[in-house]
Amino acid sequence: MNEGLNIALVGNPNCGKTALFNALTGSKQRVANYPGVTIEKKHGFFITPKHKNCTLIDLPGTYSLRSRSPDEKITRDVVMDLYNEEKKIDLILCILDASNLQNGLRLTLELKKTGKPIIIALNMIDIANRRNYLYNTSALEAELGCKVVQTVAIKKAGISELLDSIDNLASNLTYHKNNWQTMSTKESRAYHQEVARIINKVKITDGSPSVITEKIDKFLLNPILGMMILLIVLFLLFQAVFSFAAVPKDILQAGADWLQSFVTNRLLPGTLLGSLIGNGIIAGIGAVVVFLPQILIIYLFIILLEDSGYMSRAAFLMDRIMAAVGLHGKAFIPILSSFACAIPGIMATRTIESKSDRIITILISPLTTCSARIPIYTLLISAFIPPITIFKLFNLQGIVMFSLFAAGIIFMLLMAAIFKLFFRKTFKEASIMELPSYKLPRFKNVMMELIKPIVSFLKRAGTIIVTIMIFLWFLSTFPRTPEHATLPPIDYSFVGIIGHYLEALFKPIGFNWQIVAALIPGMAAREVAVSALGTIYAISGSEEVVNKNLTSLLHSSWTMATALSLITWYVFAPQCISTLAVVKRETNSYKWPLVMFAYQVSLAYIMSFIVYRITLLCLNF
Amino acid sequence: MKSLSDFEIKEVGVIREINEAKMLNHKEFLEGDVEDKLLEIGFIEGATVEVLHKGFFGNQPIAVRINNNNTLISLRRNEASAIIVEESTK
Repeated sequence: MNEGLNIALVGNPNCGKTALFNALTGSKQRVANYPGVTIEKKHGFFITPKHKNCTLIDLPGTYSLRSRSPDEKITRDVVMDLYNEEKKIDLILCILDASNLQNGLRLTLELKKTGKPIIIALNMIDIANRRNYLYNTSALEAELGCKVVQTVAIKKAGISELLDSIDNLASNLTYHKNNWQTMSTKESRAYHQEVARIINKVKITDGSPSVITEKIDKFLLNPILGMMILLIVLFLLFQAVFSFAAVPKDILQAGADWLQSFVTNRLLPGTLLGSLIGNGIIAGIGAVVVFLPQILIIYLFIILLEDSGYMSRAAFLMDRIMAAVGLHGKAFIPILSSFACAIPGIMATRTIESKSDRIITILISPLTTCSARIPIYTLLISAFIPPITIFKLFNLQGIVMFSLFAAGIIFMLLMAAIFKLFFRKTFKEASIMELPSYKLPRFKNVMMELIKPIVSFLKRAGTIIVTIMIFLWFLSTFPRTPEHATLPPIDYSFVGIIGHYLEALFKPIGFNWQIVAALIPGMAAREVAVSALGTIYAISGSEEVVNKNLTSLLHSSWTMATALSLITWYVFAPQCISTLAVVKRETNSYKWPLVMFAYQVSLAYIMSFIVYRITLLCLNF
Repeated sequence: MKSLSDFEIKEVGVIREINEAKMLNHKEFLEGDVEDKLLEIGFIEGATVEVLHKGFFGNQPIAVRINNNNTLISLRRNEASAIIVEESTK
């Protein structure tokens, strides 16, 4: 039995680090969060031919060991053993993009200062060879004083050589004193001069950049054409999310409905346990799992766009629009994901380097119209907005639906600008990023990257959401209905009691107690509010029947003003506990979910109030 | 000599100076931060640069190729104004 090796994987962004990590460790990976910061801690395990147990620690892509951004700080602290949660690093695996050696070598020189043994993976060597970026590897080894292995991580080429050199180095690990220091811009220039000297010495031929990429960019980065193509890509994304996902979503919904009624009506009829499992747990998990197809599709799109190199182009095209509200072009991607669900959107903010930009993007993402709002929008619009045609072309119901989406986007940008004022004291950050050359995504790599968010989504559904659902079930089931009760059971439950209790608070915006009561279970997932309204108005039956009967019932028992006020509420209100839970996890503090909750409630209340009052005024004229 | 922010598409030059004090609002940034970031990503005195693309609104951001590298760097005009370039032919 020999001691295990701790290996840190370090490299620039876009150099194929994730692919190398996957190629070395396969499925033996563990993802966690570094305590106190929001950066993902990714560990993988593999065994070398000489039976060394290795732990590979994937560190965030970085250009230097300066510790200004949280990403850089983690990389520096782990590499230099300053991070006490992590075991001592035995060797550094430094990955370089062979066709973009300059920035990688600069980082390598910094890493050398730490005194740790280093192995270099000269990655994407196939592309470099094709583009004539040729280097003398042994001369490079001599200059750097460490082993250099040529790899094509995405095709698993060079992996066995890499494992062998780990074995070789492991038998003779020597450490020097760590004399890395935060460098001045002057020293940074000196590093560059050293890199230029090394490159001059080891270079065989001058490469030429990818011709295909240049040709594609002529279209995709063209100011007008590129914008149009981006809009088409976005349109396809929405089309895929809302129409391709519809069938699997309906199947999952039908499955969950069937299981729920099977448990409550057949397996354990009339029992408390049956109600808990059926109406509490199964309904709760079902409400989340039905979104799996949509989340799968949106993640697939994001991974494909990311791996192909288009995502940074999208950020380039959107940069100016995002800059208008003080954000980086990169904030566009999380906002895009939020149209499916704010949760993957908030998780996607990790790519934003600036902390204040990231917090702002997180805070505004729930204002994007996520797919869970659609059931309640549809219900209320079909109940209250007449299906008349305006200008012989536009359906009024469609226009209202579109305005709700638009309102979400407008207020999202507005809130971003407002939040930016609060962060005014912090320094601005340069928004410089790389646009890598285009690559064809690899099926296996895409699948591996797709599985991770899906697993974490399901895990969350299985833990946080089930807990919340059981709690909400408790609130809507207890106290039990007295015998000979004349009102629906929910009237006597805590939900009913709270509904009546809070009615006065919501009266100014036109909500009756039934609405207030429905908002409570609606906190678990927005679309649950529809079935909750069904329960409160004592309509039972299949989803279809509930929807149909509710439409006519609501039409006769609510005023137009109340309906519009509730729709407005749903545009802004924090009607989703899972989102708040994810914000807590991603920011590692209770502060930001509380800020989010507070601003969304205030905004929703104010906007609903305005809409309610204006509608009342208009109706009275 | 002019700043990279004033370059037209396809214009080529050699970087003579990286100086964040040339940015209009450099005081809004942490001292040394922009210069560090520019240096880290490969903008260094002596490197050749070519502007390849500009954005739709206000000609921003710009996409620049450094030293015939295989990747492009995107930056805003404000940051590009810290880069002083001597025009040259390709």
